[in-house]
Amino acid sequence: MKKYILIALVIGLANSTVSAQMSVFKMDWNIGFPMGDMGDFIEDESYRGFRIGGRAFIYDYLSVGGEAGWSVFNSSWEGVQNVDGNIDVSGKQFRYMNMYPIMANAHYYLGDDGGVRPYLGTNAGVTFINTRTEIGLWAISETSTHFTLAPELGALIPVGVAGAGLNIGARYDVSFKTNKLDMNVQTFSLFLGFIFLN
Amino acid sequence: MKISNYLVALAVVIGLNSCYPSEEIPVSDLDIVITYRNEDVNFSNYQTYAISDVLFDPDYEDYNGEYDDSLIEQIRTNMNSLGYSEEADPTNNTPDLVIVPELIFSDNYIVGGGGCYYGCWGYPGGGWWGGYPPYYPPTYVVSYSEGTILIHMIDPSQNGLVDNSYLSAWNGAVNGLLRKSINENLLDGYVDQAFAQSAYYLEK
Repeated sequence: MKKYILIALVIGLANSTVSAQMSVFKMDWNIGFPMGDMGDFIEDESYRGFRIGGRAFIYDYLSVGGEAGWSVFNSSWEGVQNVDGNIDVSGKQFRYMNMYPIMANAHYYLGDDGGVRPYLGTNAGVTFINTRTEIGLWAISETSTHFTLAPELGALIPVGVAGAGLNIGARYDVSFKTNKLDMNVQTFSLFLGFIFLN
Repeated sequence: MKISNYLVALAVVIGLNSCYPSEEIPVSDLDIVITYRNEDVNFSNYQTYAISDVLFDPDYEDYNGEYDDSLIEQIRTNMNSLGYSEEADPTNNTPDLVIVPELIFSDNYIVGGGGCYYGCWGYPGGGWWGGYPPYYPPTYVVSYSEGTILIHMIDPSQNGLVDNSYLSAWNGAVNGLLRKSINENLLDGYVDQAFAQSAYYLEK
């Protein structure tokens, strides 16, 4: 899997340099909302997240690229939790989930160069997830690697300064369960960021 | 891409990284109650119980048995309400369960800091760094005292199964930081919680 992601990234970067097409560098701030199984583990939304990445246009309406990011979710939970069937633990838990996605992506665009470019695309890659539960004087921490898909839609919006602009949109990340972390980690996020066009 | 763009990106990364969530946690939020049951035990076979004296380290200067009576009474109340009967003469009539309360205290120390941040040998550019002498951050020591109430529920008919030890049918533990605000009512509540969260299999 990693090999194909690297190939996609290299292709994207190569196209950005050898072709005369436009490329985009972006930095997004994202607000995330836990969904599905993850919402049972952490209820609260997160305002701590960012992604950086680049896209190269291989056609006027199609780009490929890659991105990496980080976001952290946390919330507290209080109650009785059963562990392994024969242990019950009560107390306040402080739960954290740090996510580090590395993705390749492809996007399809509407609109024309120089104007607002609505887009629809998808990201695919891996997400490293560190899950940490603190209870009492102890902490349980586990890091796992997940295959992730993240469809998204948004728009690139040029602003007054040449080459600069905004990126807004929404996406849904699904990191599929593994042996280490038995939950599909799903988040819905809204993002706002800066873009730099070449 | 101008180099300034990368610097902006780096600033965003550093800025957000410093926002890792942390919050002040009341000490009471660190109190927990853990209960364990032996899955090989069928509690419906047990009817009677007896409670031993409270065990604790007599060398621990800050505790002299002040909570012993309250702890035993709290255990008795919970066992009775769960449907068990206290054996009036455990010396001559072996009860089905012997309950052993235990208190454990420990002082813990964490040493941090020290070392050298920059300008040290082994650090890139060791020696004087950027015209400044090596920086040695201060060393700090944090200490905290921890207390645990353990309640062992032992089946005396099953002794000697492994290494001549007794079969523990159930264990309850209340753990937290020792502090001035601890009082009998708080601890009694935690003991109640230990039995309450086990009632689904302890109750007659």
